[in-house]
Amino acid sequence: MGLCFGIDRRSSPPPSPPPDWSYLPTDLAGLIFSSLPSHHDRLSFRAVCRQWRLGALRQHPLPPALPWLLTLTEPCVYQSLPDGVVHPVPDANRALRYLSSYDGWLLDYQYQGVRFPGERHRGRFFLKNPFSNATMDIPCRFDQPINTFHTFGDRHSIGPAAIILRKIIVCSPDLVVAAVNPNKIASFQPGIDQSWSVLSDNDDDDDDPRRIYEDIVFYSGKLYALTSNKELLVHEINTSSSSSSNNNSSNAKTVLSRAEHAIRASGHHPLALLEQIYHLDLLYGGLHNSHESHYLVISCSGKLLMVRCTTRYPHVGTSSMGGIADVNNAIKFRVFEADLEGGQWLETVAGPPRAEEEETDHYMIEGVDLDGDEPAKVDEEWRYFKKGKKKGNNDMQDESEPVQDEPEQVEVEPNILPEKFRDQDPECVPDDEAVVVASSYVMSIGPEH
Amino acid sequence: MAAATDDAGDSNEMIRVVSSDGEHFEMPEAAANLSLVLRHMIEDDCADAAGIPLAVVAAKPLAKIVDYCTKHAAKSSGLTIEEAEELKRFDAEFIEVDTDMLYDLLVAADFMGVEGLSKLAVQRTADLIKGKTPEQNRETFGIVNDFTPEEEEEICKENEWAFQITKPPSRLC
Repeated sequence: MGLCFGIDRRSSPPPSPPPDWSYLPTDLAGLIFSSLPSHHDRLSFRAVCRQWRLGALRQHPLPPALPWLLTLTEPCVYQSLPDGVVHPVPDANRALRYLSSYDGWLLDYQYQGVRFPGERHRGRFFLKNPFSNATMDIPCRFDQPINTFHTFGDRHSIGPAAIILRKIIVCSPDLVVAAVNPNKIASFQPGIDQSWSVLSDNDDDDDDPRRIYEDIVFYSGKLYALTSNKELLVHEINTSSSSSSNNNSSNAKTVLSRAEHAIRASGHHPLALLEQIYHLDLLYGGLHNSHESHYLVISCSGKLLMVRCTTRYPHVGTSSMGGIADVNNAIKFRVFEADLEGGQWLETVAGPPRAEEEETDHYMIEGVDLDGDEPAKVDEEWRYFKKGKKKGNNDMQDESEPVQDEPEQVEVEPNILPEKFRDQDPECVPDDEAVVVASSYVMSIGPEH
Repeated sequence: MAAATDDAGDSNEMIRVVSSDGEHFEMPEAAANLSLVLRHMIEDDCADAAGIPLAVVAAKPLAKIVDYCTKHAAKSSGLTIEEAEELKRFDAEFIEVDTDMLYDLLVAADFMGVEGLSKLAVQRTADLIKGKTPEQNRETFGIVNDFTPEEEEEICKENEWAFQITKPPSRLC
């Protein structure tokens, strides 16, 4: 304790008025606001009083809040992170009509006019932000035919949109980009283009016609695309101001450049063709017993990461419940950082040394560090990922047991959101947003302006 | 006076500070150096026997801050794991204060530029906010809802997903 040797000369010090939190300086309010990783808490914070709201809205830079995980099937719910609480979606009947969600935008379809049995897509597709209620129409046709498993007849059509449009990114008000299943990138300029412009294939020597896009992400002003070969392709976004000389600069054109390799495939994946049919795999009840998918994620510290998610399914027939919805999936994650200068993927490691890690892998348990045993020098990227424990609960006896390399270490039941993760230690808040969920649509809520 | 001892960090010099309500405190120079404001004052030779006046920091929070800085300065370099753990425990206990004191610490640490304490107080406040509805937060921090009806409506819309409307909207938004 600091030594207090002063004697107050006044007989009774004037009682200072109790502090008033509604006068909290906006910069401090902003700091507190940005220390709240949960989007729920942020919404709540902004609704307390005007001063707090002002501080929240002014805060810059603001780390992105953790996304909400949305299921667009019955029951229509979303799960907030990091607390894991499941909330009903308001007006669930309406919400169940949403086709898909992409980073905070819901894909919606509205029928227009009379529906004929044979007629497709006589309506409009649009993206909707459920908070601001902003909407953005998207073209329902491509400017060239698409080769995909999923269209029925009309190869210009984007329907069934939830499958064909693997991911949509609103890069800017001037450009919306989509990864088109399986191997195209398309874009359009809102308010200008009537159809999606499909990017033509590269003529590069090693351009692989069987390339499948796994994910795309908008990062540092460029579009990055990840293929099933773990190649990372980068497209510049070019704005050419008024290409026609006699026009005023009113019609600037925003287009994607051709793909350049940011990271080359480390060798052709022998299973590339097999991977191509994993959709069928899922549709037909699982010919394989595991499925691997990759996601591009930008960490809070601004790194571009590739998350590899391996889902193992028990062999058909081994589950007493039967049916794919009852199957307990075992989900494993590994994370790689894009070394853009070196043109390679670097596996991010923390805690266990690499050799051990190879054996044990890392598990994501809904962002909750159940045992509170994160290694001291845990890398920021690894906050979500940790060694799997045999059981998800705080079972002290497990401490002495070697970590078992068995698939049922983490069990995630599709469509049954894990109540057991509620009320976990709120101290163990990850501040990274590396979130991927295999069986849910991911709805990421970005910072608002 | 700081220049008198050149072997930095090991100075036994005591720095005096005076709170806004006239109370005097003293702490080792290393502790005072944790405050950006005090460090600059010391570097500018403004620390004298009369003490550095801190016009906006009252005695109660200042006593806590002196306490915090003294503890942290004593354990600033070459921490063993146990010491780091102990410091963490100290911090956790230290910040277990009521919201009035928390507010004072938040503002004072920010004013004095005590980074560690600032973070601690910000995190503590964030922890108090977590998992609460706007109304619960107002109760916790003694805040009156001062939104206009128009703002209220905007917020209601924004919060439609987060806070299910089961009671009159005014109570939840």
